[in-house]
Amino acid sequence: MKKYIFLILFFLFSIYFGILFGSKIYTIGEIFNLSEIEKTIFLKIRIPRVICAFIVGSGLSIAGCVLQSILKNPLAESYTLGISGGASLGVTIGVIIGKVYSIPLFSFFGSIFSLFIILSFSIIKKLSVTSIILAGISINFICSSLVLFLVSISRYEKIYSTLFFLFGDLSSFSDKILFYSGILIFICFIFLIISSRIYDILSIDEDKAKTLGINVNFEKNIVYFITCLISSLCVCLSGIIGFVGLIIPHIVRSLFPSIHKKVIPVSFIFGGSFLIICDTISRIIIRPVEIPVGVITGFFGGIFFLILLLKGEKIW
Amino acid sequence: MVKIYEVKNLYFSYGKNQVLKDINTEILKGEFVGIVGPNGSGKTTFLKILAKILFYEKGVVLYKGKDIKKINNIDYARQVGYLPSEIKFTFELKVIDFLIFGFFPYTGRFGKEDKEAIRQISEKLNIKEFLNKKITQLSEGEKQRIYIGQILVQNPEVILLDEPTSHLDIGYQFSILDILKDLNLKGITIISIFHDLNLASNYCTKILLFKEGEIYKSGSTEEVLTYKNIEEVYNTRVLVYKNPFTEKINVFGIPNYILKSNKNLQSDN
Repeated sequence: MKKYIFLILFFLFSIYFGILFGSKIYTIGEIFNLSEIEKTIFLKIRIPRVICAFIVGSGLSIAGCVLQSILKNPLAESYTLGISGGASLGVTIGVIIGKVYSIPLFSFFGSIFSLFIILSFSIIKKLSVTSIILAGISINFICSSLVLFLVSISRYEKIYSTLFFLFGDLSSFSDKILFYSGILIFICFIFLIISSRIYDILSIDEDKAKTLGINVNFEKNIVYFITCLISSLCVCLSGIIGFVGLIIPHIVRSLFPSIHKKVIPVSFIFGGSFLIICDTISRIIIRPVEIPVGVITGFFGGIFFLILLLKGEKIW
Repeated sequence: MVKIYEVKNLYFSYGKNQVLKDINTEILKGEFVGIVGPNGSGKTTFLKILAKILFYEKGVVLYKGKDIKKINNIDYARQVGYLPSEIKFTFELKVIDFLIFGFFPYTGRFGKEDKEAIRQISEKLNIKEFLNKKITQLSEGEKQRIYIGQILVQNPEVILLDEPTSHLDIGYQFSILDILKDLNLKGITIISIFHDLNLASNYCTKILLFKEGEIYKSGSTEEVLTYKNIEEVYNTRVLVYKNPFTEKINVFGIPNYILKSNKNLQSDN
């Protein structure tokens, strides 16, 4: 029970921190006496940005969580499986072709394409879970190189808008995409909670799952579809943000009961709050200059993982 | 007697590797069937086909007269429970959350679980004290009881097991098999793979002896577990005799170095 109260406090703190802190720091009292310009900044910039950070953080966390379960691999997430890389390549192609509203679609096909490559590899070559992750990271590198290549050969004014996606950044999302992504990711979230029993069983044993009447391949394909959808929307909003989908489920599983009925919603809230805080730090750390949030998550994520390794925890 | 399984001319292969060849057998309701045979003789594959985990390419497998390929997975899960030889836990799970898996064929995504049934089963199997523990903290024997408890939650008519006693000490071996025998006497058909021929002979009413993907011999324990059959299939020398106390067949392997030095044994066989 205490843990849930802490979770809610963490969530509230992240919102407080995200809204009041930035290039200018406000106190709670000041919010109620804002000038017109400041109000516009709050409503049009800060609040949407906090919402965006929450959506991306929670989306990446639940996607990582179910991917880890169905692949029975604690290192799986949209970043390490190359899904985000594929999505970013899709976005780059979309931007270069120049149809802004079809970018999410390009992103989605990019993510499906890279996941398809990884899974076909793993089936044909019977790869171990570790090799799948290595293949995923390779795909990510290949995609990043292609993105850089495409950016280099494309015209100048488009370069800037695409390049920013590479580092993971929450300052240049489109409001329309934010609105629809929020709705879609929330629907995916509800669906995953409803199916949580299936992921409990699949994370233990696939043969067992089959003999309990679960259509294993069908359910796994649904998860692949949903996680590609979530990840591609997140990439459209903020570019590649690594480690969130990996650390958050890991922490949640070690602190809370590890059934998915609990792990998925807790990851959702915890991941969202975590990214709001990371994003706020990225805004204030060298004020008034902003750094991409991917730098912060990558830094903390890397340190966190090294600590796990040094503590000798089994993560393979 | 009701025929639970009828298997006719069953063939199965993994790619070019022919694993099962022309399997024909019948399993009746209430039987306790032991599947025995050397490693790689196709026992697990056969069990997985009965469990609807693998699909055969040639032949027929009927469950209560119906082709198992045509039976809905959910309906089948309500009647047949399966225990794999090993369950690996990538993530921690509490015992109670594992037992609840057994409700899935009844509840699907939405339905509500019957906590009362869990309570009854955990009392029957003496696992009440473990309900809130993590499975990975339990010993192998305790785990095995939990796994059987999960299958009982499914409320099946048939239980398929892949070497349920292979990692257990002699005390747990008998306690697990006693639980299964008890269920068997209440009418549940049990089909289990055994490594230990003596355990199979102690508990089974019927033995299927596999050799290189075929059923070499099937029938009662006394018909199948003869020294001739065992020596032929396992390629080793054994002594077979009836335990005067249990009146069950016992099989003892004979080490080659003793066989060489003892002329009496050689002439016996």
